[in-house]
Amino acid sequence: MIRVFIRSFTLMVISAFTGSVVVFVLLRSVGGDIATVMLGTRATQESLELLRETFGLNRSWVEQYVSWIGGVLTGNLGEAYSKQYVISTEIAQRLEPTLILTFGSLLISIPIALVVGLYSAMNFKRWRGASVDGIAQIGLAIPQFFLALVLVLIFAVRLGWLPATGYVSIFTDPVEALRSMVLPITTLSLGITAVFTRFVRTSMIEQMNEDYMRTAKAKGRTVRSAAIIHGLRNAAIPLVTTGALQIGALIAGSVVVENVFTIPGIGRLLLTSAVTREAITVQSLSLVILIIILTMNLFMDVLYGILDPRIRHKEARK
Amino acid sequence: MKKSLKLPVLIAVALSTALLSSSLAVAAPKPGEVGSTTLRASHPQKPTSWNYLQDGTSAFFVPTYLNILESLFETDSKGALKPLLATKLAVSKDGLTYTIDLRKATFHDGSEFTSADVVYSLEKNKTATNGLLSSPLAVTKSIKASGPSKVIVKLSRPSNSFREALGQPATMIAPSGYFESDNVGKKLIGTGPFSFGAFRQDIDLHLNRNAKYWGTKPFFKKVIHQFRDDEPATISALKTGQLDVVGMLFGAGVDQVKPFITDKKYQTFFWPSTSASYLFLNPKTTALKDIKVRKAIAHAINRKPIIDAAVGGYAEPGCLMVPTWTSPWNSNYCPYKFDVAKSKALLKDAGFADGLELDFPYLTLAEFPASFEVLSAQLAAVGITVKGRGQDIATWIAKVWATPTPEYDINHITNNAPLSTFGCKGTTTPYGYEALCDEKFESLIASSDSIVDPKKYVAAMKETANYVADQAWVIEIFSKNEPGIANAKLTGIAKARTSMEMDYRNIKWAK
Repeated sequence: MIRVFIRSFTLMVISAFTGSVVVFVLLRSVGGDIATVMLGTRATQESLELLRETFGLNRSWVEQYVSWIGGVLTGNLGEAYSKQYVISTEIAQRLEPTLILTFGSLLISIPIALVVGLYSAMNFKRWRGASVDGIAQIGLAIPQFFLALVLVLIFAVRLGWLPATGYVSIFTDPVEALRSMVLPITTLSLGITAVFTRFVRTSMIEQMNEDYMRTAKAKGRTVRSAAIIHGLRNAAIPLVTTGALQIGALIAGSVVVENVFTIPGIGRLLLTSAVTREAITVQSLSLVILIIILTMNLFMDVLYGILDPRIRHKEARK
Repeated sequence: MKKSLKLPVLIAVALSTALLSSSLAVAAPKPGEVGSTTLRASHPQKPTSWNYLQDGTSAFFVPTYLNILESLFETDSKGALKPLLATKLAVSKDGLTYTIDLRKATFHDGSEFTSADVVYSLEKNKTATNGLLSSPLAVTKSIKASGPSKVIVKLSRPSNSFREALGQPATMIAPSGYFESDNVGKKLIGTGPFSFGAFRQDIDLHLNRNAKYWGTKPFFKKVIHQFRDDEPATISALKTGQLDVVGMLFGAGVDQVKPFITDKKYQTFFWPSTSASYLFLNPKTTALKDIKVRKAIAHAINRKPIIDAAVGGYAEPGCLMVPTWTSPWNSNYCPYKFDVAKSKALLKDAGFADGLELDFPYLTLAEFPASFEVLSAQLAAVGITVKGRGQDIATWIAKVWATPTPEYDINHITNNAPLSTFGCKGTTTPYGYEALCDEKFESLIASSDSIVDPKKYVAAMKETANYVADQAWVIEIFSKNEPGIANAKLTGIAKARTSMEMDYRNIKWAK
């Protein structure tokens, strides 16, 4: 297990560093910077140069990167160019809604996917199973911004049950917090539920043909109980990996969802910072997101080892 | 009364009194209800900075100008100067000396407003990287206090731009030492009817009523100015009662304004734009150096379909580079009206009978993607093929606007740069960066700004505007009427704007 952890951790550090370099280079390659955004159509060559000098943007890329990563390593992400906020404080404040949104979606998606995927697998030769699969396909195809607008129109504008936009902190008013997150979590979880459902379905169909399932049935178990008691556990193991891989997709989805619902999360901050070329914020935020995803992957690697003894034994033999 | 009965009776009386008083007490109106002292407004743009010496974007001025920060004068709907922090203006006959009397006022930090603050602020604004502030103040030779409530400004030459800027953000006043303090970029301090309150990055800014305001205090104790760039979501928030005022829609929300015009629960308003929306052509593109080609492009433009597609029909077509609302030199002059046959003939004359291909990188925001679609179809109809590619604002400014080596042939922008900022020494593309130095135009803009006689000035500006239209390096398409929607029970929404502001000063609930 320790070997698994050390290997995964080393890989995580290398990936985080590589990712930070990629983001840094991409940001400077797309064209424009914070000076062009601030000055807008009133920019002159002189005023642009002056502002770039003020922000240290006229230094070489290497100097800029070293200066930023040096700050990161000492725990100081710095201040936005605009001076409107301290980056670490802003990220910390925005983690709450994003974590509620992403993990809320994950927590809802997984149980639904397990039940629906299992049902679909057990009925995969019947129309019921096929129709569940068809619905999952539709769930995959609907764009999040469109789904968000439709849900808002029905549940906020027409029925008036839920707020159309905004976020209330769980520490301020838990009931309002829940109400404000129903539509965003539903929007974000639909696509991911469809992914998980199809995954569980395929995995369960494979498990149903395994020898141990036949043994279970021979011992007197019904197809349903064999599937639930024996099949589902085995089918759920790869779901752990898929779940970890989907964290990235969830955070990417949160960019869209947070923007439509005006939720002050890190997704919205990432989008507005990228548009306004707040490079340090984008770099820092990307690094934080990268570390979250990589940590989840590390956690899942370890969990995978715990759930599947074959992995542990394979590592031990090395 | 028996002693044992006293306590239960006392409790019963206390409880009934509490119940009675609570039933009689009137609950304070919630936001959105008539009488509420909180106004919730939204605008699609978010300021990139709170330092106005650096930030030249309109998003900065929307919530702050006139609400938090005040200038010496403001400009009324007819373009005249109206007292604000200044009470009186006297200009010498030669147009070189401006004597400005100031009122008594207090800054949000409690300090007194004096002439020293005006001298400090104007000197700071004059050296700002933001050209909106520094350009009109460039002609000032000296700015001196004459006692605590008078300032004398001397100019190196008479300047109409300077006079007009007195009622614009160029003369916004901050307390002395503000730009050297820790507040700069984080908190604005002005003299306006609202002070700078809580700010949540890309979410909202709270404006708190200034109890010490020198003028009529606003009705609303708090204005929550929200930054919402998803316009359909903003409209939904308005419909569900989460917003009271939605200002200046310019994207996908424009198409959703129509139903609100007839809905009695709402009022719609259309702010006459302070800017012009126009095509501009690259002087470095060989084919465009021939005026016949430029005329052909101008003749190919049918303004009405562009207005309908790009801004929901809420605009006035125009051919002069002049916003339609205040400029006295505006007119119906239109040298190259829509005429496909004439356009084709001009192209043939210029040697492009087989067609012409032009590069058209367009902005991927507001009206520009939709206008690009219609423009490319109209130009194709006369034989001009445009190669379109979307660019976000930062890329566009870096590659098209603020560069001596721009990468475009034809482009579209909506801008409130006055004609005086055109000219090859200026910064407004396509003239700026010495790209287009037309002798006649240079002499027109150089001389018109110095004309002291108002009538002669208007005549000179008219000649300049017409000359710009004739040359067709810039081809105006329209002047927008920016739509907004508000709760029908609100009154006092400004009918016009001085600059780019959303003016919250006079908004209140109707009786």
